[in-house]
Amino acid sequence: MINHLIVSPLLLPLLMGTIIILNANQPVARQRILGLSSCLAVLVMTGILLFQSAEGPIQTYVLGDWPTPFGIVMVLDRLSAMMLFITALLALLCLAYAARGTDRQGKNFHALFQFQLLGINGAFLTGDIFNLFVFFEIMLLSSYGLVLHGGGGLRTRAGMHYVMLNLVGSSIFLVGVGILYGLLGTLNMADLAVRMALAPAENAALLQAAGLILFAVFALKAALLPLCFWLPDAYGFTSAPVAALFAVMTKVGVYVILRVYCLVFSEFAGIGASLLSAWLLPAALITLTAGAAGVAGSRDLRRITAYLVIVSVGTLLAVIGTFQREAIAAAIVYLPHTTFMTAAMFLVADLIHRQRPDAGSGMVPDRPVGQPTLLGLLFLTAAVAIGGLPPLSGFFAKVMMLMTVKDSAGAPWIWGLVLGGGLLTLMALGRAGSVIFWKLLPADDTRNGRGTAHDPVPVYALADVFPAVFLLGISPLLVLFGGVITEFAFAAADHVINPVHYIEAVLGPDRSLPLLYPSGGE
Amino acid sequence: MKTPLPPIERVPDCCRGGLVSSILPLLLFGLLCLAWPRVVQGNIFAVQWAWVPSLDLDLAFRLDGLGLLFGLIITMTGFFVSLYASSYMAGHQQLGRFFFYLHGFMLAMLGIVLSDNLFLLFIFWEATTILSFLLIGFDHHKTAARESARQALLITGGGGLFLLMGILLLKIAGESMTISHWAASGDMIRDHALYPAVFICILMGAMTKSAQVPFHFWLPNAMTAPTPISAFLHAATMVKAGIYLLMRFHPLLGGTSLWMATLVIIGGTTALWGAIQALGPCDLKRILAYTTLMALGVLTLFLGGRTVLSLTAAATFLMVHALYKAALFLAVGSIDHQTGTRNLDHLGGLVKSMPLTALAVAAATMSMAGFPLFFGFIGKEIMYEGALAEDMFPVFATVATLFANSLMTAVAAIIFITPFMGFGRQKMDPVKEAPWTMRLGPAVMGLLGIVFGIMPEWVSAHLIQPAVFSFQPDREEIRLVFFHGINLPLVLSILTLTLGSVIYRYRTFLRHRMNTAIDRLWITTPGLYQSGLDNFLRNAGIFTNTIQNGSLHFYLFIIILTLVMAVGWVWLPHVPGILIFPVISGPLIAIGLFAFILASTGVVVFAKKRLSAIGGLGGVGAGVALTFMIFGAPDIALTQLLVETLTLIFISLVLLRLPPMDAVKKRSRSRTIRDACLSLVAGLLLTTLMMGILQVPLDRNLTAFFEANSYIAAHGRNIVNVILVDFRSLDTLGEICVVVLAAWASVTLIRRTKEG
Repeated sequence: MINHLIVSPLLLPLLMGTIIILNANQPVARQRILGLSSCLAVLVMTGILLFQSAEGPIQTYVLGDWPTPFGIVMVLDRLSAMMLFITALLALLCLAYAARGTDRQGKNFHALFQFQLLGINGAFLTGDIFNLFVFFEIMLLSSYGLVLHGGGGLRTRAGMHYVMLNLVGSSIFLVGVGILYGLLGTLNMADLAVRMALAPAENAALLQAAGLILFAVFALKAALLPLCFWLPDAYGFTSAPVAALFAVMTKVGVYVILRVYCLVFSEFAGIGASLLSAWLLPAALITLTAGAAGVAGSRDLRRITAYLVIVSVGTLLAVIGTFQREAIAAAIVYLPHTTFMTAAMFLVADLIHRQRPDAGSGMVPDRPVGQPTLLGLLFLTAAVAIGGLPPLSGFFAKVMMLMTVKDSAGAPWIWGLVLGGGLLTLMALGRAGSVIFWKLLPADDTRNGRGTAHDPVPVYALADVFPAVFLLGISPLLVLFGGVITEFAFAAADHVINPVHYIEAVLGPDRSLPLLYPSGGE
Repeated sequence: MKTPLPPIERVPDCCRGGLVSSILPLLLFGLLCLAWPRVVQGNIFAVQWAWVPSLDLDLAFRLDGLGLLFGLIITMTGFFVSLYASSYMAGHQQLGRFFFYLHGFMLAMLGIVLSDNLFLLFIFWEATTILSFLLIGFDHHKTAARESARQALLITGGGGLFLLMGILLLKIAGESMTISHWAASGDMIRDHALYPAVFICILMGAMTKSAQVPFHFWLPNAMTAPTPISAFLHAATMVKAGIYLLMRFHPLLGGTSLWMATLVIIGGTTALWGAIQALGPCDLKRILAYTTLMALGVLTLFLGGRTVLSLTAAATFLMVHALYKAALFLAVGSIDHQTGTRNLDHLGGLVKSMPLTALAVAAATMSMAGFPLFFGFIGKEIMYEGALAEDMFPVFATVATLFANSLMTAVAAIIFITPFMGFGRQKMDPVKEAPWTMRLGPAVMGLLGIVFGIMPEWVSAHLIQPAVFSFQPDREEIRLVFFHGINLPLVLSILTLTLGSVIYRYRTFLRHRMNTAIDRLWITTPGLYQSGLDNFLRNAGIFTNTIQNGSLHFYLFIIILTLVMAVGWVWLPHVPGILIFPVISGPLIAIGLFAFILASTGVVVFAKKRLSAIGGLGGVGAGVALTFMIFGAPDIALTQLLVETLTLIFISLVLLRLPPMDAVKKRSRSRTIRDACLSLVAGLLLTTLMMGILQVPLDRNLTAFFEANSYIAAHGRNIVNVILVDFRSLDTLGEICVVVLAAWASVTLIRRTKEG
């Protein structure tokens, strides 16, 4: 029985994106309805998929019904199902936020948004490395369009850097895939894993070079230092709902690193075995440190949040870099938390920005925001969650990560830097909050920089703040259902860390034997 | 010091909301009193629900003697402070928020002392950190308030991280997360390899929270908070959380020479430093803050001991201090509230206008100075007994206690005599006595100081001993008694009073000397903190701006450099082998093409005019297409040619609109050389990688399948087409999306550029 539901997260955005293009000259309201209904439908579908994956084995969907590894295959395991669900939920909330006005700032927002979803979902689902390249391209082009949305010189420049650096990444990706195909003769990731285990020793250097080339590409996507240059500007200058959605884009890079280097270059992969075990952890820790320095050195809440994304990637990859089952499970628990909370902070920063016409989200004194209690509460919640303080989800995820990496050689470094990064985050957010909410110019001060009267600031209705409130509300839910989520994460980590499950689901039973018995398997 | 008060008749005497909300602490106090007799008999109240089993985090609460002592202090001061604040803060705009924070803080404090699970304790611990940030910064229009709030957040927050680390290390060492299960396992932990790390982490948590040297400076700065908050957080409760932590951990971690030596030295230093500095300021609140430092130091000092005597001394002094210090803070607040100043130089003669406050202050300061009949005297006696009974450095402990106490006596005299008896240098306006809500707290707590002083046996049996027994398993009975007979502690007590009066006599001289001496200190922790923080923030900014410098060229350089380094790491050793024997086979025309492509590339790189660069680019494209042609792939060659032509047209359209190349700023020579080197290495690596692949026979697994099935299964004669539209149709669909999106993005961009 083929489960056609698996491709729904691809088909729905593709279809709806095309329909919205055809309606490009219709009123925005119609596009909104189309976009939101698509997101809602994807959310329902991915919810069902998540539920199915939690209960059952890894599912595959073979396009065109060509036998693997000759056709393209979509693979749904627990991790990809979770990523799809996170993306769908985040997308719906970001679109709901954008529907309060951001989408009017330029054309084609809704169509681009759907294609963005198509690219992200495809990257999570695909089991084919060239197909991954294609979805990366879709992701890149639509995100480029979204970064530019709304215009402005800074956005155009940031978008230019973003697309240039990522195009370099794309061409390098092709080189890496080319080497793998040239030597192993396949593009299917499960098949690549089997053939890697069987590859002769004289090809070791070439295959390892290919693995490192691909790592550079994925690290660029995940914004690992020193490949994270594109991120602070692109995330800091683009419109808020786009930046919030992009919180999941770096996680695509993290996901792919986890997938490829636990499958194709897993510890069973013969000559390509454990390729990253010496590289990932130090790179991630340096990223974490640099991100924390950026957090401490920034003077604008939007920019602080952009650097928080880098901190979060560094933390995730440092924990993943130990390549232990428990640690990966902890990373899987941390991933939804950090994605939703950084996204929420982008939205909160924008809500603050719009009620401070002179200073925006910058850390300079301005008149008080229009709704200080509401915004202060939102900011405080987000800060507590992101800073990893109890009783919100950041604390529990952090404790779980610290406990699970305790046996790895890098444990003292991870502990020190993760906790130190948390302290810097707390300090930076404390500074930002105390300037924005406390260091006030008199409310009746009528002089501003231009010596004219103030523009009226918007007053938010429930619908304006609802997406941010909802995102922040996820944090206590993650705590409340901590037991279930941890259980799920361990099961997901089982599937990730042991390539046998994945290979047998894709290629059929017993095909993973070369991994388990490298000498006499054939 | 303080903004002048608005005319008194406009401000209501107290706000009803504050009055009503003081029911909460009163209720909790009542509940604790109900449980009190049972706890004294040795019963323990405990409840427990599982929360996050994988973390060993349970919702476990437990009321034992120590929890009761702290709980009573917290709820009692909580009640008086909230009653007091309903008058003190009357007319403030954000009263609701104030009482919300205040009571939230009180509940968090209760949570700390009643938690039986370490993670739960930590959750409440961090809650007090955040709430104290909000409370210290409550008067946020003042720069000092904001800065002190941030300072307290950073220091106590950092200490919180150490505490968390200590808890996790303890868990790794195999210790139970349930505090009441610790009784028997102290030896296991004390011999564990992780013991020093655990000890340091826990100690850091306690030291930052309880403001021990060198982290002490946040406490005096936190006095920018409204007085009820200073009284509650920074005298009676929050700063005692660190002390509570040390008491709780005493049976588990205490008793080692590391523990004793560290605590005695740190505590003694803090006590002396705090007591000396208390002579310096003129601001009454600041003086009180330094005396709090002294008290916290003394408590730490006694917790360094392991005898029942020194621990009893700690518990007794904890109570003594909570009573007189909260009373004094509230009374000072009253003075401030009624007169508009709390500067010693401006105050005097208040005994006539504020008689009740004067009485309360008199009682509290007498207790503080340790006069007989007052609770402070009992405390002082047991302190000297405890100091003499320390295992480590008893002489240092005794001398430190003696000097700190003498200074306290002098400061107590200053606090009472100057504002109430003396004469202000300026003539003061007529002053009214504070409203009853503000008098009740100091009066009751001052009175308790006398009551407890007269009946120490009762206090000892009902409060101190149950508390000490819960963290000192020996259960040795130490009774507080009114008169011990003539012994060394009594002599020391008398010496303290004498020395204190001498110091009081020469206070002006000492203050002057002290202030100049502190000014001359070339290194101080507040200074180090400030300059360290400033330097760090500045360097973080510089570092970030250096990395994130906005130059696309720089970004690309680094990315390619990273790639070269990563690939070169595994591949560079193989490069010579591949380059030495290049396989030059194939037709002569191929070698000609190779030379042509190379030459065209040279043209692109070295061209002086854009047009010639574009021409060179066309040459490269044509060369590649021709290569496909001669190696038997005419369809690919055709596609390539088409793509090349289109690209060329686009590039020409764009590039020829740019200013001519010689008009663009020349790049420096060193940069050109650097770029050239990197490009050459990158090119070399890429070329040799490709050559390396060619030496391995191509796996025809996929190709064979496509050849076999193209016609039979997919019904297409052209294999490439079938691959594109059937076998890998999803790729094609995706690429169509990409092309559409790219076209679209360009149109949007061009349209916008035109409009803008």
